[in-house]
Amino acid sequence: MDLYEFVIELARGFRKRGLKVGVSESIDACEAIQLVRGRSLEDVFTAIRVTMIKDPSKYHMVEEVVSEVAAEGGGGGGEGEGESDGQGSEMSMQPTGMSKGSGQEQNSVSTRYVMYSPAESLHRRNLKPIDISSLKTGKRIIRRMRRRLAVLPGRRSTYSKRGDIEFAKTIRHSLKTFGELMRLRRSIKILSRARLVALIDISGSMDTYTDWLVRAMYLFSRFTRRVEVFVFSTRLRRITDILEVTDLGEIRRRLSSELDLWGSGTRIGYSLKSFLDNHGNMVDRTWVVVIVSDGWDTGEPELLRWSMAALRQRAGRIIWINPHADKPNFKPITIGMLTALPFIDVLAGTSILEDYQAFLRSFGKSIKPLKRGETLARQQVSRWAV
Amino acid sequence: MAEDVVFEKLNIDVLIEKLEEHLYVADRSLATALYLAIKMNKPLLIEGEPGCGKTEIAKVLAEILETDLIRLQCYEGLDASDAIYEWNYPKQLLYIRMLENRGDVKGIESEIFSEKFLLKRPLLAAVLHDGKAPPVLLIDEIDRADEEFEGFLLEFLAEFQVTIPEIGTIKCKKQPLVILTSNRTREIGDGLKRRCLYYYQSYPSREKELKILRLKVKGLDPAVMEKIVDFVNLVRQRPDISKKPGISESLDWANALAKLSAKDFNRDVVRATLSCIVKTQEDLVRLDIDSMLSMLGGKSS
Repeated sequence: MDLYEFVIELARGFRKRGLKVGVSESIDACEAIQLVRGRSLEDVFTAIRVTMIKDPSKYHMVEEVVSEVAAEGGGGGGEGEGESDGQGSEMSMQPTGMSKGSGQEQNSVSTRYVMYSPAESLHRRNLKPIDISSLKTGKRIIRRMRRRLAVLPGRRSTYSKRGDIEFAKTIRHSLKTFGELMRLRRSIKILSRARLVALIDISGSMDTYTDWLVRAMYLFSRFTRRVEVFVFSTRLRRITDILEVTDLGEIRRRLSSELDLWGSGTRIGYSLKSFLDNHGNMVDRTWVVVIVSDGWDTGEPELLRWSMAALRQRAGRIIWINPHADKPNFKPITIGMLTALPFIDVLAGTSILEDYQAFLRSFGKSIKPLKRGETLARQQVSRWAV
Repeated sequence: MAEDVVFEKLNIDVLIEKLEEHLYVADRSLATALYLAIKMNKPLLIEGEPGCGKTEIAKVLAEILETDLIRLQCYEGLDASDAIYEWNYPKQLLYIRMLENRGDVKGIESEIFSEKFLLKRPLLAAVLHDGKAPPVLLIDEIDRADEEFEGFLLEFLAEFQVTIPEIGTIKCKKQPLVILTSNRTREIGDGLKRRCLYYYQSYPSREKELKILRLKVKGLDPAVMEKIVDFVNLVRQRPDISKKPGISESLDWANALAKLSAKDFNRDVVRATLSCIVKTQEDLVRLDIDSMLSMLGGKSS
């Protein structure tokens, strides 16, 4: 196996594990490996990481895939795992004596890669098609919610005496008076944008709401352009990239085939903590955090309390959607719900995305953006306090 | 090419040495990433926790290369007029007023849209740079800029040219060495990542952090330094601390203790200076100094 074949096999290995490795990355990898060739294996691994893996949480895959490719190459495994240096030159990378790329195309498509984890039972699910008509009200509500929660200046501007002078506009307007400057044009940007991160529980206890959850994922991903969607059960997974495509069928297919967390147990605290650890930096006062969960937690409540407190400290608003909250005699008595209640701004049921009146009940009628320091309908939460 | 002057005989070991000469302690993997970025002439995107020396890399690299550092600090709402160029409108206006009586419209037009009325922002400055070696262009905290700007950068990083309608297209003579940094306050788009080499800078190991402190802080008892590093590491491990201290915080703390000529790392000293590493009131309240110190004591014994 020569360098090019080796890199192609690597790229295939990474793709099988869900990484996006394009041709340009492969070309870079070839060049990079050639540059560090003759050096230690550690350098070669770094070269692969630097060029092909652009997500630190996936770094562990490098050794995995390299040894897999080395083994596939039918070679004497020794070198593949090899220590650094020595004369490991001229291909510590040539872990194989492979004559020909065994990896025929059919392999890459048909080979199912099964993930292993002792802690959870992984489930994929065949999801029903997303019903477009049911999205109509949801989209309208999401638009309203966006305007209500806007805290960031958008691109459009409006005249304001307090704003900055806009020279380009001022000069353009001076043309009316033959270049004489009669008035300085000032403007400020209009508040029109919000940022949202949705954390959606897809564990076993939420099973009955699967269709609604998929719709919610889709709707939240259309909230603004700055949105991140995560799902969790026993662990956390970012699905923003899955939802980025426009084709509903494609989204359903990818949620069905790529997501393996459906119906497992729930560890809300752990999942929130891993969100904070890996993506926590992104959340600040300008972000709205939406958590969708029924609050059944098999993890430690203390961890959930910590995570919620940390989230409260960073995020602008926290909205919790509990599917059961619509029921007439609902009381937030699950351990997760009780722990989280002091930290959230709005607690609502699934109807918030389906029924316009329910949305207004939670968010109030005015659709003006909230002023700094102003809270959402906090009474919604105090009503539940038990 | 960036390597022609200083980096003729460059290799990873030399780079590590050079970095250390300039008081930057780098892992071998970081040096490899920098080496590849220089040799492959590709932008390097460095992500990592705040205060872990991402920006510093670009500064040190400019020093090693003996070239200029051009820095573009990104922020929410950054647009082309702040990043590339802008016409100097007030100066243009004054000039027009002065020439009003000349009546030569064409002449005035060609003059006021010439280079002397151009405000060069960092990207244009990098393109027009005329030094011996190509400059190091630092695009700092790219995650703070909007996606629109990121989209624009894609084009810039591919072509390294700037088009000004009134003047034309300017292509850079020597491609700058581009370092982008991100604190991961949002995910950087795949397109941009694809065009860059990628390196993740995490918190340093205990040994590395100690080495950095020894290199940069003078006049502090080594035993106190060790205590500082251990204490900071304990704080980093706490899940309930919202702003985790980076290397820059450890350095601040060590410098503070050096200034105070602290001989001992006891409760009072820690209490008085803890705000060097813990920057929010809530975190300060949460940290129980006594128990942390007793954990440290247990560890060292």
